[in-house]
Amino acid sequence: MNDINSSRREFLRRATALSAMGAGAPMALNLACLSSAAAQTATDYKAIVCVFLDGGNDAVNTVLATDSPSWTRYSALRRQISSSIGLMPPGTARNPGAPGTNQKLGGVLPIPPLTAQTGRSFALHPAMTEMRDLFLARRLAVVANVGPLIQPTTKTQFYSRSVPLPPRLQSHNDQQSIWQSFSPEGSSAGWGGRMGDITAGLNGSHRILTCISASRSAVFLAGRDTLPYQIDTDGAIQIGWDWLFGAPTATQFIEQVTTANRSHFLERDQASVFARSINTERDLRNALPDKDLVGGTTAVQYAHPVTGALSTNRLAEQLQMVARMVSAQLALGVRRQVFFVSIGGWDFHSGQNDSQANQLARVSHAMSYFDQTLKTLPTGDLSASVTTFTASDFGRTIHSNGDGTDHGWGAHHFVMGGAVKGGDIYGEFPVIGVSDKKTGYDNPDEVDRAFLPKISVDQYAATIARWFGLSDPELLSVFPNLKNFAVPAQNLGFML
Amino acid sequence: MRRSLLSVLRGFLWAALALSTAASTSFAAQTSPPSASVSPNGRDLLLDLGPKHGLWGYASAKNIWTYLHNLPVKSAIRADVNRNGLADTVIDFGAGMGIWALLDNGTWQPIHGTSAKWIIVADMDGSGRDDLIVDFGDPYGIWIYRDFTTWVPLHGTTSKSAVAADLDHNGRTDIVIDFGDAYGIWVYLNNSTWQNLHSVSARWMVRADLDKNRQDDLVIDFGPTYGIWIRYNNTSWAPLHGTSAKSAVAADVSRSGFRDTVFIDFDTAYGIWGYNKTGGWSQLHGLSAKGMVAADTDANQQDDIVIDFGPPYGVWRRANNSSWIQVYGMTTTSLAAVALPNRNPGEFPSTPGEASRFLTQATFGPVDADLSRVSQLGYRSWIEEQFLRPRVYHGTYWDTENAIIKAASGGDRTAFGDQVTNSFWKQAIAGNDQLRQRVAFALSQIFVISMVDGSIDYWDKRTRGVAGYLDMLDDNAFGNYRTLLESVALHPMMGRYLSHLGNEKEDPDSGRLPDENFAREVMQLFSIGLVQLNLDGSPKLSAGQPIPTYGPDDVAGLAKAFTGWSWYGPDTSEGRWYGWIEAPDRNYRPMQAYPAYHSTSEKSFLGTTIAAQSAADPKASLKIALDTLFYHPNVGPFIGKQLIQRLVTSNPSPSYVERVASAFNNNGAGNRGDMKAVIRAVLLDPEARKPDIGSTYGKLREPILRLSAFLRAFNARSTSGKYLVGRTDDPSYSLAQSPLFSPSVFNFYRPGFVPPNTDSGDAGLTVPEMQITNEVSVAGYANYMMFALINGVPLWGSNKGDIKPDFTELLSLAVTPASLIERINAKLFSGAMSDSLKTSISDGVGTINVPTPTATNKAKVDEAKLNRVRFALLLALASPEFIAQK
Repeated sequence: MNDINSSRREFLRRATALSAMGAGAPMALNLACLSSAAAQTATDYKAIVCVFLDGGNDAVNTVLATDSPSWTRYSALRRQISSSIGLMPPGTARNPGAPGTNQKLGGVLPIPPLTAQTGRSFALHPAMTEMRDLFLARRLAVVANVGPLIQPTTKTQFYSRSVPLPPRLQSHNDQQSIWQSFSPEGSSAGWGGRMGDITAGLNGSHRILTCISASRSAVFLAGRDTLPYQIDTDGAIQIGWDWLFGAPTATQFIEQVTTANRSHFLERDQASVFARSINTERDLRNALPDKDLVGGTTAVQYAHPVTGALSTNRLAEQLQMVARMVSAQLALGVRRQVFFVSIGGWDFHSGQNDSQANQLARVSHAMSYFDQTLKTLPTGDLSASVTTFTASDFGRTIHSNGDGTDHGWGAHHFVMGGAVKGGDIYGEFPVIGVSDKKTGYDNPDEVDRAFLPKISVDQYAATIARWFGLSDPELLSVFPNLKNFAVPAQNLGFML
Repeated sequence: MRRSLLSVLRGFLWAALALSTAASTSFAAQTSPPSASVSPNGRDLLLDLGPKHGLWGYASAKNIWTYLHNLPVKSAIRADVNRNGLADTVIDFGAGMGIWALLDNGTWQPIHGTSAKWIIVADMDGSGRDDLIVDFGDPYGIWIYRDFTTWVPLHGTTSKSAVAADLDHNGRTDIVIDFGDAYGIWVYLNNSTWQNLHSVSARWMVRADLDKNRQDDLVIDFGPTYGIWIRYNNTSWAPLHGTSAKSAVAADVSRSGFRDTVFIDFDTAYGIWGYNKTGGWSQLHGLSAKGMVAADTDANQQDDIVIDFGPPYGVWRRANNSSWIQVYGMTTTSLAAVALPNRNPGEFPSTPGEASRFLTQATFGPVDADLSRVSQLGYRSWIEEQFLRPRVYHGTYWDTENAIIKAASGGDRTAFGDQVTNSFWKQAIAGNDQLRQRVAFALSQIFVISMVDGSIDYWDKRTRGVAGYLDMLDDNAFGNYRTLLESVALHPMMGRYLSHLGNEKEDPDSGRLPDENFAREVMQLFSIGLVQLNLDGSPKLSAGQPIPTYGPDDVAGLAKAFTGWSWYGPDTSEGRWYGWIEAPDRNYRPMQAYPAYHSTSEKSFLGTTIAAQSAADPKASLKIALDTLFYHPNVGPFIGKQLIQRLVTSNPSPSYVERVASAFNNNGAGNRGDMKAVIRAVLLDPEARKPDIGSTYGKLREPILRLSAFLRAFNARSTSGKYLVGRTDDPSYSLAQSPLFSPSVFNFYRPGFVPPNTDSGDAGLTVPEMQITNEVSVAGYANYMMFALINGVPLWGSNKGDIKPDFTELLSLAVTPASLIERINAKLFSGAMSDSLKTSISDGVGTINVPTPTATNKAKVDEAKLNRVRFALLLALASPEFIAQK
């Protein structure tokens, strides 16, 4: 009973695609539609992992420009009298006795990129020591000023509305959806899921294990045919057991009532989820390696950046589950997987100092844990087969609202893995500063006090998807705005 | 009732009254045709149960209660107002509202804006149609509303009381008016002749026919000096009793066809006695009445006497002079025999399943008591009764527990989020104010705050504010949206959650700008949404594209309006603003204005501009900001559709949304934002009550509502009385949902969520609750229910099994699976369980063998029965049929 619905769906979709082409379409073209491209012939294993930061991370305090002009304007904008959100300059020693969080943390952590940007120097937030190390070890790259764009957009074009713009900028739910699916809330297919559509055929009888969330439901993982599969951080969950309530075959009856075929859509859909839950749990029951083989409960603990107190890092727990799935790929015979993990708490309207330091410490620890774990999986080093990247609703305003920042647009992101050309910053790092009519200062990279993205989500995602194995036509079909960017710019070059 | 119509009418008729009063100050006769008989007693009862419970009609013959109004009643009488041969009811609501008619078709019709001293009904002109005779008191005097069409003055002198009676048996009603000590009692005979009946004023007068000759008699109490006399046939006087009495009614209690018995209340000294010519005196009851009327309550052409004995006895009826039956356990402020409208069949459930469907939408789950109540009252009156149910406060629960926890820990610990959660569950499972709690729960998913967030924090004593927030939603659930919006905007927990508590004005020197968080979300989520809407909830389009309601400049402008608010306290010091100095009640008292931190610059948003202020005035800015949102045309469809989705169905038709939005825009009396009108519109809509279920109607029950429906259906009670459910947010091992615990301000799920790659999604349907439905959560839910069946709730920990369902009834059915399943069907499925599910459950239960009872195996038999009940319930609760509410 392996995912009949999904197969039926795929079958029907392809039938529809054929008939839509009309009887006159050449046979060769029809056949091309059926064998969807290079990815399906691959025999290696590749996975991507989306780390979504729910709420909109403040990129300005995550990757910083520390050259003098940038730092001066940064300090003026963010360093204020009370509960300043400005970070300390590089080299500032940690000062646990200081009153402010940023003083306690010490200076930002320099990251010299392999490719210099003229006159610029860079650093990471002081809570990101592990990611600094990953950058220096060339396992981590920074992609600067990414955000949703329909086409390349200048400040002048933005204000004159002379080019189409992504809808509903600054709205959390819509920008999350746009990052994941290029369409606002209500969208039904994301690019992770679309990649799954193309590659699920490589996963044999385990199509359901193509797109997997260890976090929450996310449109990112939904394809036109591919269904996201949700897994708990402890593994798949069995419903009941035999001899429950004295019923010898209790699970058989539970399966019967929960998955019964019904005519009402809400019931059918509910039954489908139950069916996937029950079937996949059966498949995974003995396939996943024990948690202790990937660090157990101790490796997923992180240290609070100020107090040093240890506690469980929920993001690391999710990545631990991903690592167990990756480790099981050989046994299960799956070849392409798209994972989604996420962590909330990034909407830094107030109290940003404490919360962002803590959040970035979690991310930094989790990424490092994951990289280390993939290198030492029971089934070998798979770190070059797995590429992990960050995403978030939007960046935040460059200025401060006192003790926080508001919704913005462009933001810096991270890509990690053995197949990443790390230790570098991709994309032109934006000018720091807020334009001011009074002084006449104008920042070409800023609109509405936030970064105007220079790199679109399409370019960022397509670079990863190309590594995953999608062909040029497939890339153009999955990433709707990619065609609007010059061909060389369609590959940002951060993947091997 | 429509006040506007009333005031128009009032103005018109006052003028008419003033003109004609002068012309009728003497006992001038009017000439008119002969009249017909007095209207008989009513069958139905009107009970004014006071301001808390409102005005109710009771048709005892059909055992139907109908909520009528929340206004106090001065007097009421039966009459055929609209001349269609069916009796209506005239009700005097007293000064301010005046006199209205409740017609047989259920509509209200104004009679006059002035309240009356007394009202009687007669057919004075022999037209065969009822006339209303009204004494409006000084300076208007007594008027006749002839055929309910024309006001005619009868006499300029106001009087004490009156009765209508056909004294000469000619088919025309005569009127007996007691003008008090100055003039005595007069008879206005056949609409033409004034006759003096007696110079002494009466304590009370009653129309009877003691000698059964169809010529009415009068029983008159002339007070302590003279006692009670009978005026036979307008010709002779006979003494009846030397003791003056409190009140009396005359009735036909023996089905003789005559009002031949008079029941007289001799007060506490002697109680109530009945008298007729053949039987003489007999005591009806030793107690005196607070109110007493005659009515044929069982519709058998035989009068019953209905008596309000006052507290603690309440209202009883003496049916057919033979048995006592309680009508209602409470006393009334007024009681009358009337004619109630014929009930509208569409407003009553025709099957128990329909009642159950309604209660699934309007409560946390049907219970037997509510099922019979809604069958008795009908949907509309059930809602009205819920509107009047007394309030319970979550803050009180938290405070009580806080005191206990503090005392037990020597002051080290306080109450926290669990006490908010458990108080929520207490009301959800066992509360009587179900509709209020259910609507407040829906509101908590629109006006979201969450204890997930560190700004509120589940483990902090600040959660007292969350209890207060829930109380605030309860307060406003049946109020006005504008007040609700302001209460939300100024609640300190919302201030913490969306960070406008302590939001400072802009600072040109540092470049700091106000925090935009609340300004953005109040528009996107709490009032108008992202795109302009038509009344039916569909987006307005321009060149095929939705039109945004606001842009970044509107957010920035509105953010300035929300500066200068912070913690409540007795002063507005800096320490108070920043929160260093804490008032003990600051977590739930509305935030206060701090002008020093309020932006004085011009604020523009949504086409409104608040001019620059010379002196900072945060309250004035707030008012303009909230008024601008309140009057935005999007609010009705935006909020209305979400309430439909929370209570009834995920995909309402545009016309359903439009009807609800219209009720939001105008409650029928010209008021915008009336939540009661919105709730009525949501729950009484044909699409809620009699929908075409098809394959898409309905919604997924939220996990919280699944658990509450199960616990309520089987009368679960808490051993501690505290309903210690605790948090249920974990998707893997619990319900993936806990009240006031959503992951973000975007709630547990989005109202526009379209589940990808589902039949619903392919059909373009919105299914919000699918956003928290996945392979993990379905297993987590089913296992939670399994352990709840084993252990009770909560499943684990020191409070394990505090709440236990009562399976007594089901256990008695365990050996007959078909009956067991039908009971579960009625309790949890509104009677709509499919045959295939019944078969599956029956087969499953059949695998559990119940041994044949012997002298020694009782424990084994009991265990097997319990296993059958639990397994049947698990299969039922886990079935998609239960999860989808239709």
